[in-house]
Amino acid sequence: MRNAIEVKGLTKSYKDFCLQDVTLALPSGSILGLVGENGAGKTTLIQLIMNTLGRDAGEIAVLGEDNQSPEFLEVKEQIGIVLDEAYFPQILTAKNVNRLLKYSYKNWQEEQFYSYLHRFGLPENKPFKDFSRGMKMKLAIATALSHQPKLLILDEATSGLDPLIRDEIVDLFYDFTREEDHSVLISSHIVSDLEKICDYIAFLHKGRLILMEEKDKLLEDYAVVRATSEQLVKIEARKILGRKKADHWTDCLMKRENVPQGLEPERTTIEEIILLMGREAQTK
Amino acid sequence: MKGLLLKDLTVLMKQTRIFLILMAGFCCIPRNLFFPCFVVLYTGMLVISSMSFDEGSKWSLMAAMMPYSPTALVMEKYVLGLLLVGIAGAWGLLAQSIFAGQDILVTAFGIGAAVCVTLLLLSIQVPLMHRFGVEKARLIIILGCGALGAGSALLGNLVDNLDIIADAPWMRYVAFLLPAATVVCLGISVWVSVRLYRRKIKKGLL
Repeated sequence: MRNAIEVKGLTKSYKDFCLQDVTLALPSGSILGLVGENGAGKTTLIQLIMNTLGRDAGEIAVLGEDNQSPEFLEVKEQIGIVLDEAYFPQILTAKNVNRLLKYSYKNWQEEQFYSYLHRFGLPENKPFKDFSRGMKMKLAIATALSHQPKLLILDEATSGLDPLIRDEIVDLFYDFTREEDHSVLISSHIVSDLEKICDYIAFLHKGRLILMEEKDKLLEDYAVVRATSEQLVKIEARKILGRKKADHWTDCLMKRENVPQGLEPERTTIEEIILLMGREAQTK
Repeated sequence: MKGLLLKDLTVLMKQTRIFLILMAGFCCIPRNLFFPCFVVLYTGMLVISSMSFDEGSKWSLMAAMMPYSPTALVMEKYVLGLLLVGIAGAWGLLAQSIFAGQDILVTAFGIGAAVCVTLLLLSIQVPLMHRFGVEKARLIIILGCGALGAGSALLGNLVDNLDIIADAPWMRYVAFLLPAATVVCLGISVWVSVRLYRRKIKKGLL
């Protein structure tokens, strides 16, 4: 299976932050959820993938092309992008945006764009500055989907939206991947959204990739065990991947294969795995 | 690039439509070269306004994600400037020579000089804006213009008779030298701006 995105050994340093040696791949036809706290490096990673930010080391290939090659310009025609805000000039209307993008993307589908406007209930002639945040994001999503993209890159596209709209939009992304060569990279700190649609989960914490795994495998392989302090001392520390202390016990995240006899492994959720791993990484 | 030009023209027209219509009307005042020259200068400076709007809405980051090369994104602002100044110059020439009865050669010379000066200013301003951002670049230009004004005043005081300059033998070549200098400066300016834009990408300053 060809990878829609391949990142190898990617490093980018700032004065106060460093994205360190990130290696991940998004297989074609899948949805990869990029999770991480604010400032974990999700947006930096997306900007590096889109080559709008220079990297210090590493390699990035998008839809089979090195993202620093001249051919990447053609690849960008096949990428629909939604950033954390919709950065259109405030005075433009949806109609103006259509005209701007019609002459920017070779495969721009005007009819499809207007059908999304209609579906999302967006006005054609209202200036962008008068849109609510939900409307702005919907417009950005409509533009990303209206030029026959093969890859969607979404940076916090659902944050700040109410649950109803979020659900509708998440379903839209899910529908997008029905075509087998369509892939989605979605970054969010709302893990429940990602849990619903993603095939793979990548967890970034303070610029380091802590985890990159198939979602179903994560749920199969990881478990939470509730251990008393006596039971806890008998578990090898390196086998505990995350922990949460309560008054009389500690919830430990472990691989199922490492759970000692006598302790009952409980099914966990992606949100719990991320939270416990993040907490553990913070204490190190 | 057509999409970017359309975006800029739409934004600028929405912001300055009434002012531009008034100015276009003033260009028809008989035997008055001030307004046509002012309109040329004003439309040239609209490029700076357009970069300022882009910075305000963070459009540059969005545009960089689209299928445009860094060169195309930088060049578009110069093309916008040439387009606006060209239209303003052509309208001024038409309005003065046809509607206002001004001598066509005098008008062409005056407006031509205004076009060259505007493009020279643009070729200085655009790289400054890429390097320092809109607000700082504006401040630098204002200070630069102030220094130029003070220098001219000083020169006026030092030289008793300014006709010496006007009568200088090289002045007859100004009509050729000014456009040539403008073309050269624009070329250098584009080259510098593209390099500065790439530097902005490298440092994540978009």
